[in-house]
Amino acid sequence: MKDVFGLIISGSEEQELRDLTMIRSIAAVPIAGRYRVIDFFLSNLVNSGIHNVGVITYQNYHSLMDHIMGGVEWDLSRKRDGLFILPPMSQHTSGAKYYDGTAEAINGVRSYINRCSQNTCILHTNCRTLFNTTYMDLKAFHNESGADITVMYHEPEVLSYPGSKSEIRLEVDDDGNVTDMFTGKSLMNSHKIAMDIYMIDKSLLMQLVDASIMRGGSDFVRDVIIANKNRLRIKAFRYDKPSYKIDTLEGYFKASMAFLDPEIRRELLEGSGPIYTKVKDEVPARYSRDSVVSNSLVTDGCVVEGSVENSILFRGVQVAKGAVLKNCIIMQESLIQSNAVLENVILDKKCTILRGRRLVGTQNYPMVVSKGSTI
Amino acid sequence: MNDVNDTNTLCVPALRKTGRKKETVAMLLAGGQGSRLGALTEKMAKPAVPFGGKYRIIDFALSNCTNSNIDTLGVLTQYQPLELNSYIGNGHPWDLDRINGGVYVLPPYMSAKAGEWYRGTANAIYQNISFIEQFNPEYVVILSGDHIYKMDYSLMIDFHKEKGADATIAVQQVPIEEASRFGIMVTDENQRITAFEEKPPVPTSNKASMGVYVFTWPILRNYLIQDENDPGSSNDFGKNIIPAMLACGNPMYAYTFNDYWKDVGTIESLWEANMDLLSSESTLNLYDANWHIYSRNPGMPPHYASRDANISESMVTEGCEVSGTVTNSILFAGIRVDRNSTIKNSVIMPNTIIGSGSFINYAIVAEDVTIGCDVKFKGSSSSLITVIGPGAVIPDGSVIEDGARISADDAIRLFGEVR
Repeated sequence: MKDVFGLIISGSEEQELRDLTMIRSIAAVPIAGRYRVIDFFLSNLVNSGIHNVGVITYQNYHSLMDHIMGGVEWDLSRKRDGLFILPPMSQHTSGAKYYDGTAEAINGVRSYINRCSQNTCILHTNCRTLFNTTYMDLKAFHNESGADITVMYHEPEVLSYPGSKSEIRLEVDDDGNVTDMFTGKSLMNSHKIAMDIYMIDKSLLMQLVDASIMRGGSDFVRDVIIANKNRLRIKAFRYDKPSYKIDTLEGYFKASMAFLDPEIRRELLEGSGPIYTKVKDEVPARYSRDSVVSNSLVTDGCVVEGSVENSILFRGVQVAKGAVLKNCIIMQESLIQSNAVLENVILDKKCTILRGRRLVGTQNYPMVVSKGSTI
Repeated sequence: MNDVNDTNTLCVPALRKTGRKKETVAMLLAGGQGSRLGALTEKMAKPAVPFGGKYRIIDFALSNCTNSNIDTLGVLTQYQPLELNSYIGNGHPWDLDRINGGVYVLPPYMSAKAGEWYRGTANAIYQNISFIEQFNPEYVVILSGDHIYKMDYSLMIDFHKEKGADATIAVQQVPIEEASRFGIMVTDENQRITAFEEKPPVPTSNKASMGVYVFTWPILRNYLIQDENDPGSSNDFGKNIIPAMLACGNPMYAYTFNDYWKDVGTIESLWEANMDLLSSESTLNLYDANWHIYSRNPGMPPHYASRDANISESMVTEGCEVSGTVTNSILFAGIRVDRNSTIKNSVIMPNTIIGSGSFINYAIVAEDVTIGCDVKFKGSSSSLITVIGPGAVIPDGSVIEDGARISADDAIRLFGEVR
């Protein structure tokens, strides 16, 4: 994998994660107690032996920058290559402006791409599917098939919940060629869902992006892939291991809860390699005399004095005596005061639920409380 | 001090003293075997012994340095240094990977003329005079790597400067009946030390030395050289350097520190210090955002408590999978506690597996231990702590006596090779 670099477009505005992405890009959304979504993508690349990764940020990238900093935790703080955080400015001669689409985002970081010594790119046009893998198989497939572009996809047998409006489905012929790609659900019957991961040679990528930008294009899938579908050899690479879509709130909730299953947790957090994340030096979690905990993930720094069931507690969450949590996701440093009752609730960071309050959502429409709220 | 000038040229090479000056350099003595910890220190030095769920003993001294703005320190290792060396690494977890300064691991070394082990605490510093001289410091702080405490050394250095001291010794006021176990400082009303008594049968003061010293470097340097030239000396700070300075009338002061401080040199004190973390009355606050205790994190997933778990009054660290009952205990990272097993009043170190139906009480179980199913620790008394050493395998159905100390080799001898 010496000849491969990674490029991650860390998000756009089209997500359906309500309050969770109001203040951050999807890549920076907290998940599974101590991780952020981008940890999976960075770790997958690093575990594949890729040590040059560019992350293109988007509007609200403070939260993402804070998290990845110099990339030390992913072993990407290096003298040669390493992690590059690329600001989201498109290349306009007259004044900078945010990119409008993924092709524009790539165009905006062309100087980084040109400087990469590696010739093959693993391009992530979004960060909305969680999985744990290495890319050796993808690389082998890409080389053997002689593809210009290889599109990674998964094919869930049953779509247990509606995907987002912007998810991309593939039409694939018997020889594994991608014949078409569609944005938006229910236009076609295909269950082949693109994972927003593409393998493509650097020079071809830049050539195609150039051609597309010249014609007023802005989106990688629409204006680079679909526009060239008859000219290019586009191959589909099926990913068979578990993967979880988190581009809707329902999906995010389900994916989070899947981590409570020991096997899924092992697959997602250890499968092909460990998922690395930022270290916060929290004290181990602490339980009191009255605490009750069942089928839950609890992170260092938590203090549990109440009752916690089927829930995920992030770092530094405090659950006071008499409080009851069921099917909840409680993000960093939130405080649940005594006798509060929460069911099917996602609390963003640093929320406070006052004594005796009662919040109840449903499984398919969990209640989301935005960062820093007091209820 | 007649020969000071001669020896000076003999043992200290001319060093450039420009550009890297540090006011303070800390030297952390981490070479002790800690033989009273038995199986726990068979393969690692005492400072590397795990403590408090995710720390090692040395994390407290290292974090204290970082939090006290001391960014240059030497860690003197000797006994079983592998674990400690790899743990400290480049010092990044403590923010001690610095361009100017940072943490240096200093093992004994060979020189052109001779090479030898560190013979005593003073000799260990003597052998590293060149290391200290690189930074041309005003003050040197001497620390030991086997105490649990949170202390701002910068305040002690301020005190040292204010008093115009040549040496300042941190003391803790202990109950007078226990004072005969310690090195005791007798002071006047200005905290100036007038006498030093090593483990006095009839103590005249309750100010026990904590083994934390601040010295004015040029003065200490002379005493180290002088001490080295005395063939009768045991080259120890407590036995030789401090009494010699006192005898010569150098100004020496006692700096009183009355917050939590614990020497974890024995199994009982190590167990107690861990249990202190669970006590609501403990004065050792690990949650202080302004005084983080840093450690090399294992980076594991959050811990998982299954439907069968029953956890109370305990600390549980990342990576654990708990299906049994855990009460008044500390679980380090990556431990598996299977169904129907019970852990009470115990400290379980990283990556240990506790099989189903087992019962553990009043014990320290070291890292990488495998406890089979239905193993019973008698565990009837807090004064007889049971210890299972690193890597030991205890087969199904074994019964462990109170106060047993079982290393991995003992386990093979007692129970035969398992699997």
